Amino acid sequence: MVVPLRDDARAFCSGVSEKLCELDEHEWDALVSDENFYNSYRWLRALEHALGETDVLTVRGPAGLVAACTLWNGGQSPGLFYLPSFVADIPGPWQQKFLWLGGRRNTHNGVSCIEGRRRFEAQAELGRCASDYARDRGYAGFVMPYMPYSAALKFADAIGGTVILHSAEASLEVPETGLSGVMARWRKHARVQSKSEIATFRRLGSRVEWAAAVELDDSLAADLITQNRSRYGGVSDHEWMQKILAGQRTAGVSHFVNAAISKRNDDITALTIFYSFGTALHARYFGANYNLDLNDFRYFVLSFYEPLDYAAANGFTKLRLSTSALRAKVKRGAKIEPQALVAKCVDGQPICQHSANQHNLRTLRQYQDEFAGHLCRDWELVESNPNLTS
Amino acid sequence: MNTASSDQFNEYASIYEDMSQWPFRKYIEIPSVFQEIGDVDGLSILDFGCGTGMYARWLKQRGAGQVVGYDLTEGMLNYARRRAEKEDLDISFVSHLGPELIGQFDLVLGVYVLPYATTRPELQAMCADMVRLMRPGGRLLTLPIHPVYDPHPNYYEPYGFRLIAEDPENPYADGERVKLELCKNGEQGGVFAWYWSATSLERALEQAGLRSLKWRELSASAYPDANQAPKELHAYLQRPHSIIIEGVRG
Ligand SMILES: C[S@@+](CC[C@H](N)C(=O)[O-])C[C@H]1O[C@@H](n2cnc3c(N)ncnc32)[C@H](O)[C@@H]1O
Repeated sequence: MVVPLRDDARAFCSGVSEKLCELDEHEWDALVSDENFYNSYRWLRALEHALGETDVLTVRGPAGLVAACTLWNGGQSPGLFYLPSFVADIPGPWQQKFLWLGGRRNTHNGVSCIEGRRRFEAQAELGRCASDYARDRGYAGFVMPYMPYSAALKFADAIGGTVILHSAEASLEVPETGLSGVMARWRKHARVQSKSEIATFRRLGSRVEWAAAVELDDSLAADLITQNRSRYGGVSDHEWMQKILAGQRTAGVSHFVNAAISKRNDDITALTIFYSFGTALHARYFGANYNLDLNDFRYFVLSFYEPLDYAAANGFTKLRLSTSALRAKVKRGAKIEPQALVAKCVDGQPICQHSANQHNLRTLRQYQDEFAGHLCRDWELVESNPNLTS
Repeated sequence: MNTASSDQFNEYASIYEDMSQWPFRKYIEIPSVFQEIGDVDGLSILDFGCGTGMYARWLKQRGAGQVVGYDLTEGMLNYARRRAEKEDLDISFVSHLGPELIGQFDLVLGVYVLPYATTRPELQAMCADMVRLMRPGGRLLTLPIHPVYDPHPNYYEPYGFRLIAEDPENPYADGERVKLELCKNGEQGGVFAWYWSATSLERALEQAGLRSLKWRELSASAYPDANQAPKELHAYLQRPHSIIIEGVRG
């Protein structure tokens, strides 16, 4: 019913290499939905302060920015950001260089883009721009990883890309009654176990305090987070982590920080850093002092039980729990959401659709086997909605 | 509720925010609206068709109690939510009018939203929605297209926009479409709006339950005598493209 205005006045054009700091923060964030915190302006600027500037792709309409993303090169060795390990069973030039779209080390990505009727067109232009950028600089193609599966389907459709299921993320809907509301849905055994974990935490003299960024000591936080990372095979060091936190302060991300801290007497024994954004609390960093021989379930108390009550009391409706330790999270009521990467090669060689579909179905079965009863409805899309384009 | 008409706004969040600095809004519309609203201390206010939420933010900063912004366009709501979040303003921005909002508000503000009703039943429904949100005795302030806006397509060009009736021979035809082109910094796109006559507006508002309707012309309130206002504003002040309608829920 609404006839478009003159088409020539409304065409999109795209460009490369604008600096993030030269773009208007609020204009950028108008493209960022509640679910896309890790592509919000301040988060991306924080990464730049800590790790250096990156190129930015932008798509503009006559009235301003309509889509945008930052770029990076992914990881170069096995880990969370290593493309060959995501796609080992799909033929493709995966050992060559690929361009990565989205914030560095993001494990949740959405395309920052206008909503509505022209979203498809704006995403398509972003895809063209990414293709040109990749081709000009000798990349074999580009990927946007860790996208919610349904968003990946739409992006792939717009750019002629391929959807490859490669990860999953845990999240919890927060009822108004917080933890007790979540527990009420559990079987008795799970309830008893969680109550006993919380009781142990208290019996061992631990308590929880919530802190804003101004009350946090970055050096101590970095120390605890680094201890946790090295315990689980991570390589980042204390200085790296401190740089990340300092970048967040400079960029104003600390405005969104809510940290759950466990204390015994006056000693901080662990912390989980959350970011509040839109209607969700996003868990990002856990750190603990492992020099203390404490079996007090602080990880679960800080990352799970306490935040449910905190979220409910502060009007948040979702707890986003990231991609690690899924088994432990589903045992405590989390749902698992499928995450896909969208890939496109730029040499004209399409990615084999059949192989991608087979890969996706196999990955679906693995998750179904391992997490039966805990998968959210989006997994049904994997079967019902094979890749749309090739 | 017409999502197609509000969908037009998805890519215009930043330019609408920017528009608050354009002289016709900054020196005429915005001060006129605030003067008409008066003291907001502790009032519960719903900004209907809130766009980027700038009125909602200002009202909150001026001491309003509960402030809710309502809009159908996700692009506008994203802007509004992100900005209020960064400015630590406790405003909820919603795309749905839940039962908990009905009859709650001392004031409903609807700036440039009635022109996006595309049919008479939609106009009626929008007015009914606005009035239903107000407590009995609560006030509505809304800004439609002025019933006698200047129909020369270029009249408002110095102010950053053009208002172009689809049928230039008949610019005041009730329910007709007008094109709003944005041209402050080159051609910046535009949206369609719908012209409603004074009679249609009054009838729709009264049928929705609004009483004591008053029409208030916009003025440059910093200048009690319009002739003292900067010359650039004169043409707008002579034929403003909008007007305030105020009323009370009976
Ligand atoms: C011209 S903008 C004005 C925005 C804001 N009031 C201002 O003063 O800047 C009109 C807004 O009304 C919204 N809108 C249109 N129809 C609507 C409806 N039926 N219900 C709620 N909002 C609507 C549009 O999405 C758009 O954001």
